[in-house]
Amino acid sequence: MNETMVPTMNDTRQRYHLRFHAMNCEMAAWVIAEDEQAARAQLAAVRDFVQEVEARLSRFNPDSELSRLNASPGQAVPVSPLLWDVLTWALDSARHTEGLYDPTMLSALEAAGYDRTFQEVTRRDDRSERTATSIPAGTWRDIRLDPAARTVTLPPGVRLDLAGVAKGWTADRAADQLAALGPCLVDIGGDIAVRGTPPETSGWPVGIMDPRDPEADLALLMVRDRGIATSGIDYRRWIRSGQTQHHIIDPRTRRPADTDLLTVTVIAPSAAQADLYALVTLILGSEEGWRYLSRQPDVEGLLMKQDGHLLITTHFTQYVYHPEIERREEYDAG
Amino acid sequence: MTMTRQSIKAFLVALSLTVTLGEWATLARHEVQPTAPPPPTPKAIVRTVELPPIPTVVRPPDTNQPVSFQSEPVATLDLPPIPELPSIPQVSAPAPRQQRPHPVARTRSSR
Repeated sequence: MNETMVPTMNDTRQRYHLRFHAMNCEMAAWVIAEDEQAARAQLAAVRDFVQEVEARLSRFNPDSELSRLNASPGQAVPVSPLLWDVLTWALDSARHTEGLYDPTMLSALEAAGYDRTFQEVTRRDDRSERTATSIPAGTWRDIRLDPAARTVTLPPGVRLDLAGVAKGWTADRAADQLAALGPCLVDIGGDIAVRGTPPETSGWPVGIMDPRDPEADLALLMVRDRGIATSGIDYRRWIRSGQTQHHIIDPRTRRPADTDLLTVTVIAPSAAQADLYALVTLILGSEEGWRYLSRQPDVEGLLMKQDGHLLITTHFTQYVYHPEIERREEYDAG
Repeated sequence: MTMTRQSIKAFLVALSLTVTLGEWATLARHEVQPTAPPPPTPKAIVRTVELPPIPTVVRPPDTNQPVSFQSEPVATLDLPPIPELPSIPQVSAPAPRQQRPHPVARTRSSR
């Protein structure tokens, strides 16, 4: 556990944080609290929770709960509250986006070559030809949930991949746990949930990584009680049969999305929503995606096109750090 | 046979004359030795070139003439008095520029 304690001014609380690796990503959790023991215990609980999510939902682990569900089509399979909650959110998201997000894209993703961990995908020289044409069309509507028995029945041939929404969902749940102690931030591989604000600031400072220069930021945000997520095709991409592939599948074609966008960053009331809207906007491309994002209430976004151009929604700048705004808010508070 | 003093003197004079004349003759032979003929000179082509007229030189003014510092009288102007500057109002020092906060986290695509 990598923890630091940073005293804050005019405040008896201190800041604690924990960094760890899970879901093949870097994670971090921060909390500002008075009780050191409670802070350490809660940060450890966040780490344990994230590891549990990974253990239950990993599609690369044949023993995970999700893998066992995928291996049992046509049967009513009892599932844990955790898998139930994530799957319920995933199906709600599919309905809300009219299928632009589809949790049944696992076969299409594997057909594109992402059938093992990303490190293994990039290492191998895959020249095999596989297509998604023989895979059943998106049948998320046919998934049967029984709330009373908490069972899930998958149609034959349908397998689930919940990675598209699981990180944002996990960030929200972990932040809810930490928020009982004080202002907090949870970073699940770039999907971030924020509760409250650090003392003497207007929010938590969150950078938007520049996909062309990972050492630099496109902008510095000040956010409180929000979720922030970024989807992109800048990193998880590979060559297969001479063609560049990536992990964002367009459910309409069941192939890697043909988009002019490189990354999409969304600020929404929750990290799960931000995660979902960033994914859908990326699939839709710059013009349609920008219009789609602008129609969502209380949601703002920054879109980076593959040619380097940036687009922002109308009120995105309210989250961008500006020294004058910071000073004015201090005076208002004083 | 005895020679008189005079006859010896005459003999010596004659001898020196003979030697001197002999040297002159040798020098004269060297001077008249034939030399290589000079290279033929090309026949010059005579062309008529019209030259521009020579400009007339104007004599520069004599700068050594003494300069007169006497000038025309200038009319005096009645200028208004310079107003006193108002005192600069005291302002408080600007607030120190806030240091840009370091991001606690960075959103990025999954990696």
